[in-house]
Amino acid sequence: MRSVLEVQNLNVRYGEIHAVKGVSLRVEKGEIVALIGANGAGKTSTLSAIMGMIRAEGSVKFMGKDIERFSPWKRAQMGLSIVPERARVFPNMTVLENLEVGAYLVKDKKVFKERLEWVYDIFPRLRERQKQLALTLSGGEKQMLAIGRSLMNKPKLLLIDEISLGLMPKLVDEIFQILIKLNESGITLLISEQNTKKALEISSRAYVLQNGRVVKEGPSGELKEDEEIRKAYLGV
Amino acid sequence: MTLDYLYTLITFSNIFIILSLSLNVLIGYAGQVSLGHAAFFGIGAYTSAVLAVKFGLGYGTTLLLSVLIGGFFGFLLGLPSLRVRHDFLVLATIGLNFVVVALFKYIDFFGGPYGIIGLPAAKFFGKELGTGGYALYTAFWVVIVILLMIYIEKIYLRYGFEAIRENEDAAESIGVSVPLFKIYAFTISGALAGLAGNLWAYQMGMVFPDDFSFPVSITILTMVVLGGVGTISGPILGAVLLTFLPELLRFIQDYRLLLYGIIIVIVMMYQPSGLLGRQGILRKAFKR
Ligand SMILES: Nc1ncnc2c1ncn2[C@@H]1O[C@H](COP(=O)(O)OP(=O)(O)O)[C@@H](O)[C@H]1O
Ligand SMILES: [Mg+2]
Repeated sequence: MRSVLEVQNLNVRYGEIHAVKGVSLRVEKGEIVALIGANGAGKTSTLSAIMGMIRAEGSVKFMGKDIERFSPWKRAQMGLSIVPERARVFPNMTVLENLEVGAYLVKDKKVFKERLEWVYDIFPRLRERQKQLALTLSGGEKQMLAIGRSLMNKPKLLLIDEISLGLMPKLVDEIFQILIKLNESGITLLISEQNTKKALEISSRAYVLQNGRVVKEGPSGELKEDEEIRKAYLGV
Repeated sequence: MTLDYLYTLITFSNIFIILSLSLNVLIGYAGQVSLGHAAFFGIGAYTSAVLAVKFGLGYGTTLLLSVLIGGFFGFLLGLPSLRVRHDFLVLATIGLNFVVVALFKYIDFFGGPYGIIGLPAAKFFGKELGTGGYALYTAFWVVIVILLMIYIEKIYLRYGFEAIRENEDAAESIGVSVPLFKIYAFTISGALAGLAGNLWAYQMGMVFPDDFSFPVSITILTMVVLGGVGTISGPILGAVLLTFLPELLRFIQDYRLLLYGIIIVIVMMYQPSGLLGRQGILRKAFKR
């Protein structure tokens, strides 16, 4: 069976800084895969490169197709989507308008309505706030909106960059529960996290990034028991 | 105020409504600030003047070519916008305005500093319109342009444009092709400014380089900013206000640019979305 995503020997450079050094990873259909690592490890660079938002070298295969030359909008049209770090919703649009933009590729009114209901069912708070400008939302609500906006396209693979960043622990739990639900409803996820414990709990496999390199990979259950990881990331 | 004078003012107002709406497509929807919009206005006007006076072409043909050539130059300006940063684009548009005016001034084909005079009156089915008729005719184009704006807003363009204005990266990652939409915006904007140029040339019966100089660009920009960037009603209100007010308050005339500068600063400070923008005082007043 072919993988949803296959990345080989990915390299990202910012001038002198070599931020991602030959990263290879793959995501199979139906999985939640976690990309864990400390601040500055290269998680955001890796996900942005997969989405095509920054320049990178290496091979990126999505649904069996080479996409490394495609611009981000082309990748989005193929069913790849990203929830960027710190959400980056459109601040001066209402919640509903943000979702409408997310459905930019959906031309069918009926499909749009269904998707909107689907997203509102997942995030009832967005329904309550649909007329509000996005800039008035709390941090957690912005993250929900960013996820909702991506879902409007019904992506085949959703990249989520550090959803837990700056959120209160209770909200983090809530959002991770939602990610599990999303996955159960058939959406494949590749998430980046500094919150190693939580990420290993909800993912089936994980890659550990350090200074731009994958230093460990494997089933999350095994990584949780790994001595080094327990010391370095789980504080045990 | 004689009736003829009033008709003339209405025509000017209509032309500036079209100009400010066309600039608004760039600024309001595609987030591309242009300080040289009068260049496209001039290109449209000179296209009509040259074709009518030097080649004796009829009104319908000059109108069509003004729109097409305005749109073509808009498209050309759009190409570098895909590569350069916003602040550079602002400078480039100012430069474009000066270059275009200089070309009109120094190339004999365009009539030099005295411009091109002697455009025949626009004829429709063999009849001239007169001042009142022409005002009505320009109003007809205003209606067409407003309908086009509503269409652009309603159809997915709006979301594409608005998304780009707010955040190009985020827009691309949800499938909006930023290059395509920027090019659309520049082309539409240039074409409509070309239309305004045609209407102007036939109203005046002549064109002068200075009618399309940098201060005119600032005037158009002020209209958009004052009324409300990214709305349809805002640029219309801005154009009407800034066409009629200086006529009513004659003493302002000499201080126009100063006034516009002050308006821009005050609007930015107290009404950043414009009078009819989302947070504008007039919008709120209407809603109540
Ligand atoms: N735009 C940029 N310009 C220069 N260096 C960058 C840029 N973005 C990230 N970096 C550097 O690249 C490395 C990886 O960063 P990043 O991908 O953001 O890591 P993470 O998301 O894991 O925190 C860091 O050393 C960071 O300083
Ligand atoms: Mg990061």
